[in-house]
This record gives sequence, structure tokens and C-alpha cells, in this order.
Amino acid sequence: MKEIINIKNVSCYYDDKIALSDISIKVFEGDAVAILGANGTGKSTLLKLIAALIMPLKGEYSFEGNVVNEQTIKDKLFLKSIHKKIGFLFQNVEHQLFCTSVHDEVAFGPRQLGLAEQDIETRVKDCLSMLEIEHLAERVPYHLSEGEKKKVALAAILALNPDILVLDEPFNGLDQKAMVFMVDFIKTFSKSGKTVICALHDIKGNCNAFNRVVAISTTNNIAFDGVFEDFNGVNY
Amino acid sequence: MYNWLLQKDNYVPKQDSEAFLSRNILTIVGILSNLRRKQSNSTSWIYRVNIFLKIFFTLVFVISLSLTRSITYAGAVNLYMLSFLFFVNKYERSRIIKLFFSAVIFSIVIVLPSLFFYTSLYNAGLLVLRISGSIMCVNVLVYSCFPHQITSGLNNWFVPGIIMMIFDLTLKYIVVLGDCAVEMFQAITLKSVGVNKEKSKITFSLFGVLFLKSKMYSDDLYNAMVCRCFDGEYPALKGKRFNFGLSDLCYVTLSCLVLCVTLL
Repeated sequence: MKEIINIKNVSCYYDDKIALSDISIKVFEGDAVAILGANGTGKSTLLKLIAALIMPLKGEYSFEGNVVNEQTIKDKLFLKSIHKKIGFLFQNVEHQLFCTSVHDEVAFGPRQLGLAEQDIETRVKDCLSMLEIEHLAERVPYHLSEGEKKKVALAAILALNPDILVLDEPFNGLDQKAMVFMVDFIKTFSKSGKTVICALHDIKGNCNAFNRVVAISTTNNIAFDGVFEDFNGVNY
Repeated sequence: MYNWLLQKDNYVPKQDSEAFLSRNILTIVGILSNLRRKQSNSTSWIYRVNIFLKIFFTLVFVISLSLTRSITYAGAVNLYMLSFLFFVNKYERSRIIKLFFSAVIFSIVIVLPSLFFYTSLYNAGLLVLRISGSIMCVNVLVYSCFPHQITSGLNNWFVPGIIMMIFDLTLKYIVVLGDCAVEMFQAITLKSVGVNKEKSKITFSLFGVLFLKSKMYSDDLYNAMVCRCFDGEYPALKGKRFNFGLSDLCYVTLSCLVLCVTLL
């Protein structure tokens, strides 16, 4: 399988507080990785690093064989190609919604790609219907419920057709039906050769969505990296 | 799942100017880091001076600068405030110097045309020194303590509790809304994978969302306060006990010397 993400001995800090300590992970095409850890262990920091929103202070991060650091991201086309391939769902999706209607929010990405108006409409319609939120198309995203906002943010990401989905606590605030949909979606998405990386604080009920578990300990380094069957949950 | 979603796009990113994103993110991060800055490594005496004294002398210098007709006094206060640059950290020093020179240049530009008509050089110089001196006084105060220390210092000044509360909440929401703004700009950056033809529209809608958010936060806060028996009255907080140390003595002596020597 093709290696997509290679994180080698990476450490990240916020001021003098350590967020990630000497982390090494490889992610391959088609992987569905659950990143587990308690609050404040650096899960969100790791996802932000993968999405090239923050840079490591120590170590090296490579995306599809290309090193991502302060120097290489000065090439805006390189950075854009990473952002096109990675769809990032924030933990607080409210901060991700900035358009005045749900339709515009979902159409923002495809418009960036320069697609024909007809193709944009197809993508918007497909994404909204897949997440069963067609009825929200003309609503203001800000006035929706938490679960609906999460669905809109996910639809907006999917409309860009990313190769890798990076989801930060995607199951929070979802009802049972949406949760089942999300698990099925992750399975289908990864089976199609695309990659899913998901930060969770609890894997119960969602374990069959992932083929790999990476647990981060309270000391901000990797406590476990392997298949779900070998994970006993004690290590983090 | 739809077919287009299971296939890979053959997309080559196009060049576009994203200066508006990076500029906005940097500005907000700058303000936030300024509010969150730490002085844990600061060993200089100026950081140890009691905030009560700092506020008092800042007020004295600002008021006396606005009243003085003596260019010597205005110059002396400027020099006195500039001398504090030796005792502050590198980051604070560069910020104070930048603001000082901005104030000097701005006031010179404003005053310059009047020189050609009727204002004397003495008056023009005095005005420039008054402005730069006042800005230096305030900056030395702001950059030699934490924002929350100013609030606690105001407690000793018997400022009404409700004003203190407004001050505290303003600081809090600058940080909270600033964090939101940074995340929103990051979200736009993540989706800006091509050519964005509606940059101004996006920026305005983002500020609209921030406004809605601030309104929601204020409603929530008010409701939370009502639930905790808030009835419009906010009792004044008890100020911290005043401990007079060596650094306080140095500060008071130096400030009084500048005041007395130049005023006499």
C-alpha cells in the first residue's frame, strides 16, 4: 500500500507546554485510523499537523513523500495541493462555517476548484442528500443545531472530494442514526482506497469503522499502534 | 455513496493571492499573543513593582504631560519612560519602541503643516513630546504587567465593580472571539484550494458570523449571571494587600525625582 503520511519523531509545543512528544506514525492509502487519547493528549494537534495548519518544532512530517515544513509550505501551490487532498473536520465545527447559507457553504469548495456550475450543483445536491440535510439548503448555518452543523461541515468537506478525511471527534453531538451513518460512511470511504484519520476519546460502538488504532498516552507520546483486536484499552 | 466521491480528482491547484488570509490570521494571532503573553522569565524589577503604584504614576505623568507648558518636563518624562526599555524583555521592548516611533512620526506628520503657518517650533515640539510621552507611559504600564493585573490594580483604586466586570469580560471575549476568528480563517485557508473570486464577501460574512457569535455569547453570559442571582449590581472586589518592596521603593523614588526636579 502507498504511504501517504510519514511522521518521524515529531514534537510540538504551545509556548512552553508540550502537545506532542516524539511521535512517529505512518499512514497508508485506505487506512481507517482511530487516534485515541484522553483530553489534552495532543490528538487535535496531531490532526492540525497532518492538515499542515501547524508545523513541528522537532522531527519531520512528509506528505506523499514530500517534506512539509516552514520552508516547503511557502510554495502556496504545494500547500493548496495538500489542502485539496485532506478534508479536515474541526472539533468545533461552528468555527468552520462562514457562508450565509448551507448551499453556499457546501458550494464554496467546488467553486474553488473551478468546476462548471452544473457540476457544482450536482456535488452540492449529492452531498446534502447523502447526509440527509437537503431541507437545510437555504438555512443560515449559524442557526442550526450542533448535529446539523456537523453534517453541513462534513458535506462542505466532502464536496471537495478529498483523498484523506481528517475528523476531529466526529461522533460528538450526533444522534444514533447519524452515528450509524458516519460509521458506514467511514467504512465505505476507506474501502474505496481513500484514507480516514479520526481523533476520538472513546472507541466504544465505533470500533468496526477502523482497521487501526493509535493511542496517545497522557505523556503525549504513542502508547499503542496496531490493529483494533490487539488493543486492550489499558495503554492510554 | 456517489461515484464521484469514490474516485480521485485530477486537480492541479491554481495560483491565487491569499495575502488577505495570512494577513488577517497574523494580525489576530498578534493581538491574542499580546494578551496571553507570559512574563514568567522576567526577573527585572519593573515587573515586580506594585500595579497600584504603576497605575498611579502613569495617571500622574499623563495628566501632567497634558497640562505642562515646559518642553523640558515633557522631554524628561520621555527620557524617563525610555529608560524603562533597559529593564523590559526583548519582545516588550520591540513593541514599545515600534509604538513610540509610530506615535512620534504620526504626530510630526500632523503638526508639520501648522509649522509653515503660525505655530512656533517650541509649541510643535511640545505637542509631539506630549503625545509620545503619554503613549510611552501607557505602553510601559501595559507591557510591564499582565492585563489581569491591571484589573486587580484598579480594585485598589475603588473603581466600581461593574466597570471592572466590563473590563474583565472585554479582555475575555477578545481572546475567545479572536480564537474563533483564527479558526475560521484557518477553515477558509483549508478550503481555498483554487481561485477565490469572493474574498471580500467571505471576509465580511466571517465578521458577520463573529458578530452573531458575540451576541450569542453575551446573551448566554447574561442568562448565566441571572441564574447566579445577578440583579445589575456587581459588588466591588476586594483589592490585594499592598506589600511595599524594594522595587516599589525604587520606582516611587525615581518617579518622584523626575516629577520634582523637572517641575521645580
